[in-house]
Amino acid sequence: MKTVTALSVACLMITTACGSGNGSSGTSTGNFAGNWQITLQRDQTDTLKTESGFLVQSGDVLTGSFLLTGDTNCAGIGSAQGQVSGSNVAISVSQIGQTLDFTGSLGSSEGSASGSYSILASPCGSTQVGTWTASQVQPLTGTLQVTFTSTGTSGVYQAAGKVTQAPNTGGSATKLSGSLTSTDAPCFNVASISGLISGTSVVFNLLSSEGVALGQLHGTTTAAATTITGLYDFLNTQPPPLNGCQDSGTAVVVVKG
Amino acid sequence: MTHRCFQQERKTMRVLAVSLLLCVSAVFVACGSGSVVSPSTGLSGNWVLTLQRHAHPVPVVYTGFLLQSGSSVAGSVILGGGCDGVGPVVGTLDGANLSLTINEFGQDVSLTGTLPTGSPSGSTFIGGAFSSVAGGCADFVSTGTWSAVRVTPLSGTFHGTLVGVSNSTTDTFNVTGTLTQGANTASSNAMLSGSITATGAPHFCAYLSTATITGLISGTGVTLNLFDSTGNQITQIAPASVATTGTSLTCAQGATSCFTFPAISNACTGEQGTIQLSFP
Repeated sequence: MKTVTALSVACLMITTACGSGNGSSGTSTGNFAGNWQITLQRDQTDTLKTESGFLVQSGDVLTGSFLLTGDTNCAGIGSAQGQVSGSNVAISVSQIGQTLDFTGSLGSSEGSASGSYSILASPCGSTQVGTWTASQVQPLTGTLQVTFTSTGTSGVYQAAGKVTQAPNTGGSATKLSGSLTSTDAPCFNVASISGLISGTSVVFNLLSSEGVALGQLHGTTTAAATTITGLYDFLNTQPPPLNGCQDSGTAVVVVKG
Repeated sequence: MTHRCFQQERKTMRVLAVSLLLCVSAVFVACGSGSVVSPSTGLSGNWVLTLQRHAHPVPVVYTGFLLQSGSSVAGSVILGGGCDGVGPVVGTLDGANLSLTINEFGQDVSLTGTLPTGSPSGSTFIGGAFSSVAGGCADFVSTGTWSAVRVTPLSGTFHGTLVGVSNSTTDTFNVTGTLTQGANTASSNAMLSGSITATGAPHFCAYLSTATITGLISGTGVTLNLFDSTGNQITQIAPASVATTGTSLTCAQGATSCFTFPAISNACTGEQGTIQLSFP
């Protein structure tokens, strides 16, 4: 029986080691895996850029993709390669036209990081340096309570549902899926959600059960992924009685994990 | 006593064997890919993807080739949405659930869909929903629905006509030939090669007799270059469009002509016109 017990323990150790698969780090290495929203402030200017996207961590090696937007001539996606050393990190984001180099470290508050960045002169612009701050955005998975406020009618109506964020594969965005139901919304009763999240940017594509596009909701989530604020619009093309229904306004989504 | 010992030993061995079997199974599950890999290559081919943006009447069209290997899909498409160029496509097929990402370099476009039962085969029509966040191609979010149709390979013998329309009287060249579409390499286009021969009574202006063909196809878009036996280019047929069934090739929609024969003498000052080729 001792042999069986020993085998079971060994087996458990092997399966635990193999099954982790989430790229999480050891105890001495900072955890940079996940969805990040990074703000870049160019030195001696007020101009801001943002990088948003996902990092996968394997030991002390980071890979992923970021979407660069804001004050740049080369907005777009770059592949990220990085190295973690304790709580410190160095990441290069290679875009077409330029490479952004980040160095920094995890902050004192959980899910935060900061440091400095540099970009060499390239077709995208002149050499620049600056600082960056980043927030790790928690997975957007849970139940939803949505409050729609119509711009046209000032009417307020509710919807409830759920959303699930797909696994992190190191892309610049990750898929969202889910559903919404409402008893008082003018333009839909039931909608499926097919969407994306990149950093704090969220978009929901709202569709009927037949796959007809009903509307969209897009906004910004908090880093804790508990609240999304943004805009919505519906323009139904589905059969009566909701055909041609139009509505737009603001939306507040409360997410509970 | 010996018999009891023997039974005890057999029991221990049995437990040991079951434990080992469970362990091996658990290791396989934990260390495996976690997905059932289908041997299917059903999504491989030349596709036209049309994205219909929510509340926007003008569709966005992407064309190119996909290669499926098991549950993985990869390819390249000519981009249609704000970022000109060619972008790679990656995706997965999990059962009937298809997930594709088009990398436009400026931003990613995420497509999801569910394949209908029995698909994909032939000139399959598939579709679903798409979304993208604001990025380098468009500074606004984009959502909507997408559909895709696979274009049957443009290969085989053909016959048809090239009709000159630039002169007061139409000049019709009856032609036959063959075309072969090159291998699908997950590129945004594939090579075409073949030959074309004018048939029937000789024309006073012999713009075309026999020519070799090289060309490209992406989605339904086709370009053919015709060369004479000395390697000189006779004409280019473009923009041309193939039916998704791969059975006919014509000038692209909206094109009043899609080929031009240059002047070959003072009397034969050139010709431009339309084509109508049928396969086979």
